[in-house]
Amino acid sequence: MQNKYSDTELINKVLGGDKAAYADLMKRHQRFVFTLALRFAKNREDAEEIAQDCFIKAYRSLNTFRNTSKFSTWLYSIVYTTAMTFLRKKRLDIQSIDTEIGLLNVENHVSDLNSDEVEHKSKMVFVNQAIDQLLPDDAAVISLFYQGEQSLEEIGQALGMETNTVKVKLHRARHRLKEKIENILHHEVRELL
Amino acid sequence: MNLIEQRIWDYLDGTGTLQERELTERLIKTDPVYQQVYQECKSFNSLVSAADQDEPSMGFTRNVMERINLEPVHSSLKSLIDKRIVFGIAAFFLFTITALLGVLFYQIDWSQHISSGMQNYQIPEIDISKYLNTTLINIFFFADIIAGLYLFDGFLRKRIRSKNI
Repeated sequence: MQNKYSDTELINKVLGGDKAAYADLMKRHQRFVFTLALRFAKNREDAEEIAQDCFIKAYRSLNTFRNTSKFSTWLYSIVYTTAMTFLRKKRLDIQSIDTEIGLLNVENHVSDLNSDEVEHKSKMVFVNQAIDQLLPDDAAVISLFYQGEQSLEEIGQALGMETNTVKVKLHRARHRLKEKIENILHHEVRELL
Repeated sequence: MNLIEQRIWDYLDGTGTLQERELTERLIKTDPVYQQVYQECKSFNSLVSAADQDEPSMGFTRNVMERINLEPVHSSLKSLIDKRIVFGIAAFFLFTITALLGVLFYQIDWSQHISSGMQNYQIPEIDISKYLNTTLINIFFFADIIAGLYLFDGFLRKRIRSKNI
């Protein structure tokens, strides 16, 4: 059910002492925050930890949020810094996942699907897998732009980069993503794109 | 990435100048190569836009709210600080200072000669060199360095904390 309050109204309620309003605010953004965290962490457990930390930090600093930007942009900047700190702590290997492993997983997924909805579902599986194979920064830019529906300026604010840098990064990330999808889908992608 | 692709992306993203966008639009309509790249980019956009968002575990909201409930309740500074209290404190200090000054000026004997009471007063001489020695100076500098490092550490911690938020 869609909450009738806007982000700003919910924030004001939370700042007025209504903690339950924060649950509503969180429910609205948790899917994308988790998706973004997953782009960095590459596994669900770590992504969930990052997303949780991110919401706690956001709650603690909610009174510092100024309405000069969207709440989502502000929240994504917290996800980015939290994920970066987490990666630094865990010293994760941020190299791309081996393509062969990716292909193996893709094949397994395809074998499970055999109806009309295969096309859509498998496309999404392939796209998500291809995004997962990108470097965290590229994956974050792609996710923020397409799934987060953030403008280049807003992505710049969230990631602490100049708009032009984001533009260049987005171009490169698209190029790499296209390559990854092509690798996964081989010849099929040429018909798809 | 080639120039055509770059131009098409700029066109689709709405970046670049109006003239550039108009030129790209014209080229898409007339040039088959541009047309093909445009279609590819559009398909790519719709494909990636349709990618699903991941769902956290069922207990995600509950887990976060459990931690949130341990946090102190937010309450805006406006409701915490009543202006009447601020004005009351200010009025108290203003009244006290005025009263003290009033009493002070009232007790002064204005008819007395200004310098008459000061003539016999001698400032006591203090020999500082008696107390100053190398050990004391070393201790003083050492304490200064410790205090400086402590403050610097606090400053760095604050910066890291604000960066992490």
